[in-house]
Amino acid sequence: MVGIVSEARTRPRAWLRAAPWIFILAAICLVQIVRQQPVDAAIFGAGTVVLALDAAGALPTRRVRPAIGLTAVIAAATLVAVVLALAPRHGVVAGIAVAAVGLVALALAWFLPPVAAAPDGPQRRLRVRRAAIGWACVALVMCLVELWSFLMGRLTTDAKGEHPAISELLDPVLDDAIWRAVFAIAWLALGVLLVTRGRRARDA
Amino acid sequence: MRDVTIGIYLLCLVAALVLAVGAHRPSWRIAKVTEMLDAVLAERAPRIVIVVFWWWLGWHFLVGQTVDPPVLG
Repeated sequence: MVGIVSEARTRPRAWLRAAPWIFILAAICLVQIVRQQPVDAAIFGAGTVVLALDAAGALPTRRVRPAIGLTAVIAAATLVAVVLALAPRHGVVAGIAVAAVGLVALALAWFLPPVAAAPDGPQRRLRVRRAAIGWACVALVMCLVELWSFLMGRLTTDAKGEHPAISELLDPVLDDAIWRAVFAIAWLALGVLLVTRGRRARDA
Repeated sequence: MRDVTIGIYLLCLVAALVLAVGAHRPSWRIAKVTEMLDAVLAERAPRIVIVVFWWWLGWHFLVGQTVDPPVLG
């Protein structure tokens, strides 16, 4: 009974904490609909629904992420980077490789991260908050300019030239195998960072 | 306008580098990227959103349609 009461009290809080992130996924889904990209829209749409169900307590949540051998992860990422550098862009091989990476990364992201080695102090919390605000500001400016460029560039070829989205700037660069290899390595390195970080607070 | 847009993208890149490097100076009193990720990725919603978006970047640039044609030609 106590558990049920506790769950009922914490559920609205879980919703409040998840709501901004669910909104972000829904907004990206909307952009993909405007782009007329059904696969991309379906991925972000499915993510939105899954996170909403999770925030409502309808999905299992309690398993902790298994220990990941960093050497094995780096070896696997290196193999995928070689495949992505050599495989033609927009081809089947690249599609299979990127899809496989996504499935593994999402499975790992679903688990609970391990507990932090030390409790959070107020100084550390303040430093993390300041860093998060700084990074969020950079990301927000980038997203707004990208969105503006995307919307303006949708109109005519001239407008697209005047308002280049990041995709338009990087697209010709990535046709070169060397730059594609650089992109693949940077993308996979960031992915390794994302699936291996995350620590639950000791005092949570 | 094209140069302004590209300039803003480059400014964002520089700002990100300043945040990443500046975090290693104690006087700045901001957390390192890994410390911040440990805190942000502690909860499932941000973890899934950031991983999905990261994955989509790879899909968008390497597999899917990267550049959209203009609507009005």
